[in-house]
Amino acid sequence: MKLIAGIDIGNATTETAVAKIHDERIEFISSGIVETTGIKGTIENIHGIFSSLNQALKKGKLDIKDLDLVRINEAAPVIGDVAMETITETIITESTMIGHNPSTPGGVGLGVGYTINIKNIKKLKEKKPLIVIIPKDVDFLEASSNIDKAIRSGLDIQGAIVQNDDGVLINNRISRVIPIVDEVSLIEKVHEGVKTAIEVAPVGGVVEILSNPFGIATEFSLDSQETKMIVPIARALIGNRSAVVIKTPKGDVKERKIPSGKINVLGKRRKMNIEVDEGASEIMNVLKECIPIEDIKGEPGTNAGGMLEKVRQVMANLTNNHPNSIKIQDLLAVDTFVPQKVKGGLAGEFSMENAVGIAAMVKSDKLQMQMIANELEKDIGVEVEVGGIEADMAIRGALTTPGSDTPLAILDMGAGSTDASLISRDGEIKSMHLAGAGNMVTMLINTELGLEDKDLAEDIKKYSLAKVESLFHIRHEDGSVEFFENQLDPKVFARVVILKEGNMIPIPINESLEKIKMVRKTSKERVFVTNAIRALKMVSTTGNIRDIDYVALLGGSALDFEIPQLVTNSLAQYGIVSGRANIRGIEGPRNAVATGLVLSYEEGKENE
Amino acid sequence: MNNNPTINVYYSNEIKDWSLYTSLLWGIEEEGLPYQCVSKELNNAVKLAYDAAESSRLSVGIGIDNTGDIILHYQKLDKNKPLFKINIDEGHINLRNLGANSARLIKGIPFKTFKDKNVEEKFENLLDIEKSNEEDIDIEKIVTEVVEKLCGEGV
Repeated sequence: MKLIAGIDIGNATTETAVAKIHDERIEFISSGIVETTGIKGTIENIHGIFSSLNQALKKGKLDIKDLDLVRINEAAPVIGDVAMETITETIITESTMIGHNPSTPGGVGLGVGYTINIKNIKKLKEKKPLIVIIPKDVDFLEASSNIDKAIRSGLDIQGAIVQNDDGVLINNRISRVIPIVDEVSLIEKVHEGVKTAIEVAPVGGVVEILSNPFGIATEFSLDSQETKMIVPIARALIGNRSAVVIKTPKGDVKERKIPSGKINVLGKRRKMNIEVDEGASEIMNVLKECIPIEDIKGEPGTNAGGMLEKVRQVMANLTNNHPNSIKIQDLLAVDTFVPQKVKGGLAGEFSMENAVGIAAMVKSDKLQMQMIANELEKDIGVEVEVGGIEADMAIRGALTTPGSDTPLAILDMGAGSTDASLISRDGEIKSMHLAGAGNMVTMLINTELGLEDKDLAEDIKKYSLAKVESLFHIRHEDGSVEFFENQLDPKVFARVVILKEGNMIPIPINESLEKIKMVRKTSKERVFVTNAIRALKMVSTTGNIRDIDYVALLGGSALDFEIPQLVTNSLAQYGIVSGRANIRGIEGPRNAVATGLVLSYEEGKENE
Repeated sequence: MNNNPTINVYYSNEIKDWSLYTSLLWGIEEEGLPYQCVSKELNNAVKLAYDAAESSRLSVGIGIDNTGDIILHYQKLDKNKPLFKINIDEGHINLRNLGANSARLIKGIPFKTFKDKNVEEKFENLLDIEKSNEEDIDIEKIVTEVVEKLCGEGV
């Protein structure tokens, strides 16, 4: 009898399986899992290996001295990185708009007139339609009495723009209903004497005239060329309850395309170039045409170039190779949008700008696993060997899932990359590494919701949401209601919260639960479903995904509460049976490689 | 006293200048909710607030006593654990926020956060210092003064 341990060093976790090898059969005793220390394939991994091994041995009531052999994986030398390129930008020059959603604007309707500061209204002789500007140093009582006096004296007051949160208060104190937009922080940027349109929709409604390019054209008598220019304004105002459009004679709004550079794809058979701002689907098409890919380069001096070279550099440092010898072998581009502050907006408006998210995957010849093995052997005084290829081990481990058999494909969905392998009936294994996995999902959530907080995005990815409906109850995202005996923290009241390990983390943005849930779900789909299909096509012996019958899902992201369902669902359309693996019937989607390392020892012996 | 759904504001009749508290009511008005104010012969903000909440058909009440304490209470809460407590000294912006929050509790939208007056003042002071930085500040002199003062206090 021999006691051996298989240890798998992954991007995120280091997993151990300990087993007794009897003559005929293998008896698994225990397993361990800890976070990987340092970057996969570096000497810093030793600490993680040590604690993972100790954890497993402790569970099995064994000592390190009892071990006969330790096998570590020949880790696939793959790292992924992610980046985001904004490809459009809205800039407002001269003319401008205010399109924010104060919680309580005043009045209702549409007003068009020329702006005037409330302080100058008494001096005015001319009779023309007016929009009153009320800065924050003017008290609302004073403002409303002045407006009321002006109305009584026959002036045509069409609406008001207010800096404070006073819209309703002013509306309640004047004799005519006019639209009032409040909480405009940069009111000093609104000049006097310019033509302005204000629209406030009734409660529950949205602006209809100012969100329509022809509506704005009607109010400002624009010609067709000018109408084209204000389209970005109209677009930015869609869905708001209140809006202001200010037009100066020479002003315009531009939606500018930002040149973000070319990506050069060097395939074995053909080479192609693609502009990043053509969007994700074009990039992926070019990539598909160039398969098999030798290297991907970015145009030097552009954003695209900088991003791809950064990934290359990281990998070069990791493997002590020259950057030129590092090849980028896959890329996943995803269309996304980024809420960005409109340049020239007056109340901190955001405009949804188009962007492309990119994940790149780099492969080098070999990581320094042998070095790690030697170091480990010195430390623990037990023989350590580098076992087989990671993908082969994973598939061997996956085959311990009850109900599985060859031919079988596995999808290993990790943090940095998505890997697929296929074992045929006669035991031949083909595998593929693709860029884009959990980290990319986090990036998409982070940018699309405008969070600027990676940890929060990570939590949104991992945990389900709820809305706090009163101080005593919450409604989960599936609609079920949960009551609490103790009063909830006022900080979470009426907010969307993440339910993380018994805590409620409020999400500090003004978005509905449905919107956040949708962003989370579509981010996962865009990365994992796309990659699942891409990867399976590549490993399929015929190139046709339908020729694969069974797919087992592995890796950290297979533990997610919805990713396996999303993948299972979309693969079902191709007639594929897929589901989360259950290694040795007890481990779930974890420990596949470690288990495979132990199992392959036995086979190695037989071959001798 | 009518029986319409309102946020009830009970204040102690020992409060001399009721007009100091109008910001509170504007906060409620801006959020679009009705309120009614009643003077009571009681001078305990928590108790006033809870009584107000109990009598309100919206279950929300505000109590004010002559120390300037202002309490927002909700009838479903433990009487001794009111939702928010501020003091008139914290400035009219906070008064208005408290009023707004009483309405938001009913509307079910997130509360406005109270601004710490001290922090704001400190921030303003900081800005002042930054401005005055243009003139050279004699740090040595300040340090000597501080050290001397500490020594004088026997530290």
